[in-house]
Amino acid sequence: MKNPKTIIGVGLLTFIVILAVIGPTIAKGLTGSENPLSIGGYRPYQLPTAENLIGTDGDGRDGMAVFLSSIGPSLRIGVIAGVIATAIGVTLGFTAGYLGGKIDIFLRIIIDMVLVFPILPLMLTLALLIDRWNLDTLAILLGLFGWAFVARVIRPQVLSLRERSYVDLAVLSGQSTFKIIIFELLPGLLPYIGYSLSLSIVGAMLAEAGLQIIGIGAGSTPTLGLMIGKGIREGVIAVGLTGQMLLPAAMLILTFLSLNLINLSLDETYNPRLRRLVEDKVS
Amino acid sequence: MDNLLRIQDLTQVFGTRNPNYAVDRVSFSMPDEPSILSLVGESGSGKSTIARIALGLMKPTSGKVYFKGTDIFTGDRKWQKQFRRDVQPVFQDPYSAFNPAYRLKRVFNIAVRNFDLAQDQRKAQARIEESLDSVGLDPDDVLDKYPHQLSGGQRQRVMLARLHLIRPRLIIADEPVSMIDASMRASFLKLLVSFRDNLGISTLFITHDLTTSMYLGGRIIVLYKGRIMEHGDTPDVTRSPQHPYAKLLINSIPVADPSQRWDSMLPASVDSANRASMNRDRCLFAERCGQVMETCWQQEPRVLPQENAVQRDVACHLYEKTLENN
Amino acid sequence: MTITLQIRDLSIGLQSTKKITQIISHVNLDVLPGEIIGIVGESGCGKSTLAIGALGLIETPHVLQSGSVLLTLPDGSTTDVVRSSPEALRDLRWRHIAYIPQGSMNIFNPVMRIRAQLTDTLVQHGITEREAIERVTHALHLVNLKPSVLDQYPHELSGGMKQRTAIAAAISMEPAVLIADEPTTALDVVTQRMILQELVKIRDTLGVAIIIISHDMGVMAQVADRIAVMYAGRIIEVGAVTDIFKAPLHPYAQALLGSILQSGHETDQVEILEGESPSPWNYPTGCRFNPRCPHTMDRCRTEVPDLILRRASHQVACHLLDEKVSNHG
Repeated sequence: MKNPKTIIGVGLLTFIVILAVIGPTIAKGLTGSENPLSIGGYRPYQLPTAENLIGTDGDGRDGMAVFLSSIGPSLRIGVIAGVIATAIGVTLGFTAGYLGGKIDIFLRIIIDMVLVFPILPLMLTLALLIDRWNLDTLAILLGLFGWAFVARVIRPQVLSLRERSYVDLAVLSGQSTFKIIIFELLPGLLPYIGYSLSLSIVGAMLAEAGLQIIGIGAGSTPTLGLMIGKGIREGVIAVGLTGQMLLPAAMLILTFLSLNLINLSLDETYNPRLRRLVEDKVS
Repeated sequence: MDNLLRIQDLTQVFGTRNPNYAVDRVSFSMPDEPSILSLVGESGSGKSTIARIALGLMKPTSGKVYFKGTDIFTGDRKWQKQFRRDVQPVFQDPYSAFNPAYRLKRVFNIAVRNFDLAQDQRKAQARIEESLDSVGLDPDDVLDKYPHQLSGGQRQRVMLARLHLIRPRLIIADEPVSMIDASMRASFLKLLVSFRDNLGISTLFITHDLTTSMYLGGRIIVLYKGRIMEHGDTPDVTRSPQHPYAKLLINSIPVADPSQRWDSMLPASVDSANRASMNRDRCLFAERCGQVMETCWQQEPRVLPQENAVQRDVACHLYEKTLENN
Repeated sequence: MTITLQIRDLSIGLQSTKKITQIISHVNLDVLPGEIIGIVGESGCGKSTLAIGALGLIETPHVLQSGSVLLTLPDGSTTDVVRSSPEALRDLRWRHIAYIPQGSMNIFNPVMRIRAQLTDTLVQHGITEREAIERVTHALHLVNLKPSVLDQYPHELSGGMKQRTAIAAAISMEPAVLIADEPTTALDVVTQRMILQELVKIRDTLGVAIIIISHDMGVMAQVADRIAVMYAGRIIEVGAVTDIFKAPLHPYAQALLGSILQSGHETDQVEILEGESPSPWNYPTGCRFNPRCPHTMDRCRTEVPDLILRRASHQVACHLLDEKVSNHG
């Protein structure tokens, strides 16, 4: 595992997670208050100074404090939605590819229906109807619609892996179906599952950002999306407070980058031909 | 005594709208004594499909496969377990024969475990090393390696080592040497022959390359579009083929001797484009046959034993006529 | 006698991020007018790289490291194919030197009829549409295909017919040299015989020299006049087909011939060649066959044997033959 991609990817992700966890504490330190996000703590729309590194937002809060407090909630949305989407998507995609026949046809229809489903109007409607509309609900819903993308990636991979000679060899060696699924097919799927997971996580984080921009937010919990959304609505770039858009956007990109690097290194571990290329380069 | 393997009226049809008769009422058997039988045919002849069915990997549209007297698709659990141990494959593609995520020792360990091949770890290791030695591989060069670290030829030998370890009654080998270099083929085939002679293991050998069958000897079945055209002893069939397709096949082999070059051009009828008629109640080789007759288009020739050759079956109207005339 | 194609000291390497690895080394080969010469070797020996070198198709990541490929034009002048400009090459190709790549039955555009695909190149060389159709029809006739093929789509033709169409395309300008890379792999044995016989007929009719690249010794025995044996990027033996088959001199060629499976050979007679051909990243020093050779001497590990004329028209690159000469001389 001396692959530079693994090291950078894992390192970056660890950094992001640590930042998410200690972010609120740093925020308290920066603002010197127990409630760093209290409205009106500072004058609104102040340009960056030593005290307010990226200035203050429209609610009079220190931009950096808001940023540091937003990472955690955003990651949480991403992870909840991502895990739900990947779990459902892998299960259904695998079932369709492995069992084939009528089940496959049936599932493919379902996948297509979910893919074309207009999420936005549904979100709007639900946001109005549901009482306890909060970020977790949003995350769950994003997961419940994101699985179709995952299934669409996993299914053809299963179809192709199923035909490999080594799967036949496992059958003829007396391996149980369960063992074949876990030990023969799953390793080949891991890169795709990893890829789907990272895509789902970041996709959900971005989707939440998008929803925030059009105002279907969920209360006051700070998220990277909320910060970007506010930034757009309030036109912070024009006022010279670019940092308040740049930092959250950069964090989203970094999250995606770290997850992708880990993915690529996973692929190299499980795809021997790629591994050989890497070994040749290194030797 | 029951035959080791008996294929009876095996038929496999793919698709419903334009049904493809991959295998069309094929019947043959392999005796209990260790033997080698080659199924020879071009792509589309059905040979690989027969192999998959005989291995139990797929169920045929109709027909039966008997192993040691029992229908392989209806045997009970206990019988199935023994069947799995008794019938083992060699696949064509050494590059996908082993799961690339694991080291090669896993292949052997799984076999030992599932087939109860040894009482403890130490004995198992000894047997594995013995098997690798017997095919000319050094265990240190193989067991801890990943498949991609070995060449195609070495990987096919690992397959043979696995077979040596398991000691099945029957090996079903689907084009095992077509993807390895010519210089490695001889050693592989030699091992198959020694498996028969020294370990009593029979082989059902599927190939499109007649020279490999000739090397192995034994019996041969020539397949064309899912049907048997000729069936007999390999040296006899290759020396004096009777079916026009078998003749064409054998005469087209490029002999590696410049003093034995082809003396004539092939007739134009040999290459027909995709205009075959859908009628299957005829000889399927008719459109390419240099000796085609009226009756070949109207009636399917039956597979009949020949009188002038020992244990030879041919499906051709040319020979049916002779019988009727007698 | 003029030599149609002279390959001299040709070395081609492969560029990776860190270095250039040599694939073929200092290859010398002459192709005589109207001869069928076979280049035989196992997978990975570099024969396809030699083919692209002979055609001047050396593009990244391939790199020309040394040598020249002199093609004799109809007017008697010679031109160095590997040093020609892209425009000059475009003119040379198809007109004087043509190529049938591996798997060429798959080079056809599935949505175009054959006619346009065959006449396009000719028209690009400045030939009128009408003359192009004439030439193409004539070429199809040479490979026993009817002109009606022109109106068909590739998927309507069998594998053998597509291969023959590819050959017709290659000979439609009657080049001096035709390079066929594994022209019959993936075809069944009957179609293979047909294609090979067509190639010989073309040589007999048009006088075009044909370089056939293959791993199949049987194919070589049936159609080649001369054979060049390649091992690990080098040509190690060249001679008339009967000489190579009856009396091969290089230990590798001997082993190769010994391993042929043919009827009449008993199980014991086939010799087993141990080990594997080295890949370009692991070429041994000295004679590249030395790790597997049953007759290796100390000299073989350090000195590369030159391809030297040992008998009439029979060249071999092996130190053993020096020993034999000095023992007898």
